[in-house]
Amino acid sequence: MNKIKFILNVSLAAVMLLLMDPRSFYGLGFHEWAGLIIGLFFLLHKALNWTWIKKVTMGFIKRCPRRARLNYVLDVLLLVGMFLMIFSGIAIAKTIDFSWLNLGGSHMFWRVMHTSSSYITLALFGIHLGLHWKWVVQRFNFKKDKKWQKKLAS
Amino acid sequence: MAKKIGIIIINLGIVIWGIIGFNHLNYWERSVRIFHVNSEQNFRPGFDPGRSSFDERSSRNRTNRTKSIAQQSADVVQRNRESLRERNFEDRGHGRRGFHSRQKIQLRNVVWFLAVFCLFTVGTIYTDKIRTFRKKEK
Ligand code: HEM
Ligand code: HEM
Repeated sequence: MNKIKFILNVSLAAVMLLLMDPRSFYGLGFHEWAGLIIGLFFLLHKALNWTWIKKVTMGFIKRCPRRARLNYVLDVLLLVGMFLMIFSGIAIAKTIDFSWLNLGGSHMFWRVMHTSSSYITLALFGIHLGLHWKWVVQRFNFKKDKKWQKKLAS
Repeated sequence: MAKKIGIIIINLGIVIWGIIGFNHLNYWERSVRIFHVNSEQNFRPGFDPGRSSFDERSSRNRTNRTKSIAQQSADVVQRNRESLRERNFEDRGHGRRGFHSRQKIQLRNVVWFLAVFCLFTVGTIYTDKIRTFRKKEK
């Protein structure tokens, strides 16, 4: 399970970085489709961490560790950022026709929204990953490392 | 010890690389740009359909943008114009960076984004470490 999670997380990060420059990888068509599809994969990421979400949401009103609360707030911000990114992306889409959605608002507003939300969310992703670094290190099985074992023992 | 120093050097490298990327991408200015846009002034009902080709639309958007920019305060005008010029230059000036380019993979900017991403990750890891360390000392 952790292996699947790990592969999913690495691919999410990689695609996210490719999306940050629409000109970088097979042009705007790729950008728009991948942007839409990645939304689904984030939902999968959510589903795989569902137990955590359920536990903390239940515990949020009661007492829960400060760290979990911080993670929770960050996760909600990430989700909002993701939503804004995809929504504004749809509003400015060029290769896929979304005009039937009639979203309103000026192109400039959505364009700036798209840029700012994606920049801010990428920074939040960095923080999110930093807060789960222990999990990442465990995946690399650093436990076999002698120094690490000493640290754990002390 | 050698390993520790190695890790410190790598992390310092990441931080410096990230800061350069941050400046190079104009990261801060682009992140907060949305807060400088007066959304009500820019809001116009309806989203005109029938915009088909990329070139046609982008030229019209440029005029739209100029209109709405004119209504904004002086410094926002300046900032937007600068970034607009910068983007047009990027799009048109260097043909290979345009969407109709023949070269399909162009990862230079992606590497800068990776740098910023790593900067935030490393920054968080160490802030977190310092915080737990302080807690333990108490
Ligand atoms: C819309 C974006 C995202 C949201 C809302 C989100 C949300 C979450 C949630 C709710 C968890 C459960 C645990 C917790 O927060 O403490 C989690 C775990 C995690 N996420 Fe994300 N995440 C997002 C994107 C990413 C990305 C892009 C990466 C990879 C770079 C990533 C890496 C991780 C890792 C490594 C874990 C730990 C897994 C575990 O403990 O089993 N996340 N995320
Ligand atoms: C998570 C997903 C996404 C991310 C991280 C992302 C990120 C970005 C970034 C960073 C830019 C460049 C902005 C600038 O230079 O000012 C951009 C441009 C753009 N994006 Fe996205 N985007 C995502 C999803 C989408 C979606 C779903 C669509 C459409 C369906 C879309 C359509 C566009 C368009 C049309 C542009 C303008 C390209 C141009 O004219 O230069 N994006 N995106």
